[in-house]
Amino acid sequence: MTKSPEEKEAAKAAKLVEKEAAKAALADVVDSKEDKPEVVVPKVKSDLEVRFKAFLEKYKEQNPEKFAIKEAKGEFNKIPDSFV
Amino acid sequence: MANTLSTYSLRHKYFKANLEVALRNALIAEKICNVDRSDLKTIENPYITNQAATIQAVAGTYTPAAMTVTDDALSVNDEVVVATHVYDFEMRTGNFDFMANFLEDLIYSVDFKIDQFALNKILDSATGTYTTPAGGFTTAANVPVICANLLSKIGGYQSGIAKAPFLVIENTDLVGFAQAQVASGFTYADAALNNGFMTNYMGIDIYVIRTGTFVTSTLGTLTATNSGHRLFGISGLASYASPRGVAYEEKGITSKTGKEVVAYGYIGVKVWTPHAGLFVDITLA
Repeated sequence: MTKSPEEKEAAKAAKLVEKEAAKAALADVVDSKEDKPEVVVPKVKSDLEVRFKAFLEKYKEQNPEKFAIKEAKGEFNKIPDSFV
Repeated sequence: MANTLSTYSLRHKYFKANLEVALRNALIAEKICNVDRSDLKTIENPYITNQAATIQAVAGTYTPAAMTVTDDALSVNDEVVVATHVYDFEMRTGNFDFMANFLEDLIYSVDFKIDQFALNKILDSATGTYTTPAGGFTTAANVPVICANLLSKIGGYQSGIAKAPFLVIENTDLVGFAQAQVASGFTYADAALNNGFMTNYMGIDIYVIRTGTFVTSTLGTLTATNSGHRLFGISGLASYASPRGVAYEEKGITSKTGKEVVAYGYIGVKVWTPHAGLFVDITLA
């Protein structure tokens, strides 16, 4: 059944109202996110990483020159298999 | 129809009178170091700081320079110890001399740990550095390049390449080294082909250790970061002190039959400060 021009106008207006309402709702969500920033949970280091870090601190104290050379080469970026 | 025979109704034979042992690593620290086994806590070796002479047009005048002598010492600060207990019932009813066999293995364990400590300590003390081309020693074409570069680092000194340079590699490096040897010229290549791995290359004594000897780990008082590294230097310059070598004790323990057996040793290693530049810490690219 075809709609009358008035009915078409009314449907158009209703759709527009719906769009505006959705926009407003989204704005609310965005605003609320800005008010409450996302909580960042710090990455938990494994026991091995913690021990390796302490080990490197000790090595830095024992041999600072070689520590600097090896750190610059990126040797400490990965925990070697021999470290337990 | 198959007979059912018990295990001990069949003849057993033992391959040898002693217990077989696990594979043992090569020990090389004593071959590259100056070894001292006397009863000592420290070895003192003070050194002079070299003064450069002045060359000038003939004048007859000069200014005396003050000499500096700096102390340098090796200190025996680490001990290596391992023990076990052999019960009397084990000794009496065993098919082997457990005490002797276990003790022999314990002594090797102490020897190996001392050797590992010495190698890692020398490498940690080396102030010379070199990074190999990509592929390290496993690429045959790199081997002469690496060796030539290492020799250039110690050349020109009185205690340089005229003496005995050495290179410590791991077994995985043999892949490239062995190929480089058989691809070299004439009699050397023939010898390598006929006799296998040659322990001298370009005048450098080559020592092979097992992967896992150079470590990134705490070894006694040493914090070592040597995993993946190799060592080059001059034999006889580093010093290794192990008062009275490896000793052992057999002792009775309260409330236990049999004897506890313990093997132990003390170790101090030093690369004397003036010579530290003659040892090269090799990083594999």
